[in-house]
Amino acid sequence: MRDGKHLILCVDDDTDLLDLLRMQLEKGGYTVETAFSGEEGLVKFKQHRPDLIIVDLMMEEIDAGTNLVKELKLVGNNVPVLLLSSMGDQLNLSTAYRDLGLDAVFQKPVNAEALLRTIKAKLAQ
Amino acid sequence: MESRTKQDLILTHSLLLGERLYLFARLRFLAAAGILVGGLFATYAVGIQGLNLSALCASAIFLAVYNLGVFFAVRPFRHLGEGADQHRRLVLIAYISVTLDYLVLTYAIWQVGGAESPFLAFYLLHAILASVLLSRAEAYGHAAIGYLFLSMLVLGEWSGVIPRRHVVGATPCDATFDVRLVVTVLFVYGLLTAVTTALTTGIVKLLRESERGLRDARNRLERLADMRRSFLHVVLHDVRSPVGTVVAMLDGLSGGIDGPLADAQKRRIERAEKRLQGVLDLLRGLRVLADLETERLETLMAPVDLLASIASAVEEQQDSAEQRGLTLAANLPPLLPKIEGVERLIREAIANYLTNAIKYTQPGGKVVVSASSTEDVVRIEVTDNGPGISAEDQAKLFQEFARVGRAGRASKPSGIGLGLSIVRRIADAHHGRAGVVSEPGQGSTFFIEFKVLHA
Repeated sequence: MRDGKHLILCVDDDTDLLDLLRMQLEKGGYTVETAFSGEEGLVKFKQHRPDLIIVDLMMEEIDAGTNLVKELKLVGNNVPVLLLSSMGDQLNLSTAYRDLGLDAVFQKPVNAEALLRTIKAKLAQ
Repeated sequence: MESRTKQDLILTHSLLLGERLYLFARLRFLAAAGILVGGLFATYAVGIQGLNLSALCASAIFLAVYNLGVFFAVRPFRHLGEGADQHRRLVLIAYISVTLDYLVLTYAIWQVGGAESPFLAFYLLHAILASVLLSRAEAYGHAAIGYLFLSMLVLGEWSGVIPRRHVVGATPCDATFDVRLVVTVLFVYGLLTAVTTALTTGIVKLLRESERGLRDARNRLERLADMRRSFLHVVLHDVRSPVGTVVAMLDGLSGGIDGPLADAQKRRIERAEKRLQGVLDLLRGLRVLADLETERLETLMAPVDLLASIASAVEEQQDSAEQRGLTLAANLPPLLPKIEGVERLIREAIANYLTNAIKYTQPGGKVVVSASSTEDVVRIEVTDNGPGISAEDQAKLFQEFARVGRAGRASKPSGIGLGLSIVRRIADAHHGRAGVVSEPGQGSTFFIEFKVLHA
């Protein structure tokens, strides 16, 4: 929480998308921190302790997204993690979904309304 | 270029050598048995006189014994390509065994009449075997060795160094053995051996060349397939990402993220989004094609709960059905047998049928997903009350890049003809079946069938 608003950490190496995501989430009433890489995401996670994390599965570096999710688990993250994926980045996404303990997976292009609905529901839990 | 050709030929030939030697080792046992049985048969059944059975028996035993050694030496290389790194050793074995073969052959032929024996023709058989088995130069070498043995036998008998064996009934037993017979036999067999070796090695060379041509063609095809895969990869990774971002930005723009828009602006953005959606659909289809080409597809197969797949595909398409003013309903049994497959692809197949039905059915229409099963097959159907498809078009429907007009529809809807071909490919990958039942004006029922997974 920051200034009475939920803090969401968005990790994506596509700056345009990150920008858009930030605007949409801020419009939805959240505070947003952004990171451009898995490493930066981990640093910002420790720094800001967000209430929810959104991670792009396929960043420039292969597996950066899934690795970040695993690392987050290792450092004791217990807030919801939402994954953004381009259509079927991985054939066995469903397995990854189960194994990684993800809370939801969104296919790009992400529908802003659906994303906000899910975030609201997850934060209410 | 020439040296490369040669090397390739030797390579191909060396891949086969172990297998051939093993085959010949087995045949050689038969030959040993043949000498024995032949000798007994000739003596006791045909009534040939003068055969030295114990000498024939000894040659058969000698043949069998050294062949045991050959047999076990080449046995480890009996499968295609296994002896490639032991080529020198195998060539040596080939040389030794063929030389011993000639020795036994010459001895046996001496026993059955020598220069007059009809069995002399067996020298030609050996020349053919060497031509098939070995390289061209080696084949000529072996033919020469064979001819040398034959010449020694004939000349030896003529000069009296080797005593003549008369086999009454099998050879003419002509008392006169003058130089004319020597010249005739040596000339005929010399000519026949040379011609046979030349023809056989010529044919074998052609075969090896065409085999190399096939292998080159296969390599080229594999390279092309690799290129296509990497091309798909580039398209999927480098095109889809910016297109997705642009769609999201347009979405944000029309949603008023940067302030309210005039209606005309909104409409233009919506049209832009619609066009981009077509691009995304194509990329999605290509993605499935790329997935279907992965060699590890079989390893990704797992038991699939089809009801869940159908439900999620329906949920995914619900919005677009509503947008087009259609009812999308599911009519499903409480239970369906599990099948073996890749869930994501199966969901993709169902989603493809749904988007297709939604695209072609007029507003106010209805699209229904249903499922049924028998002992062995699960069948999923997507039925619409759209315009229907003519029999002629049905045949083309599942082909790649073939978009057909639907009855009663003047303008073709936007999009590409990859969708249904993908469903067919997904069905094929699961050893299932995809198809359509339709009549113009009667709507269409698209189905896909999977084999039930029996535990």
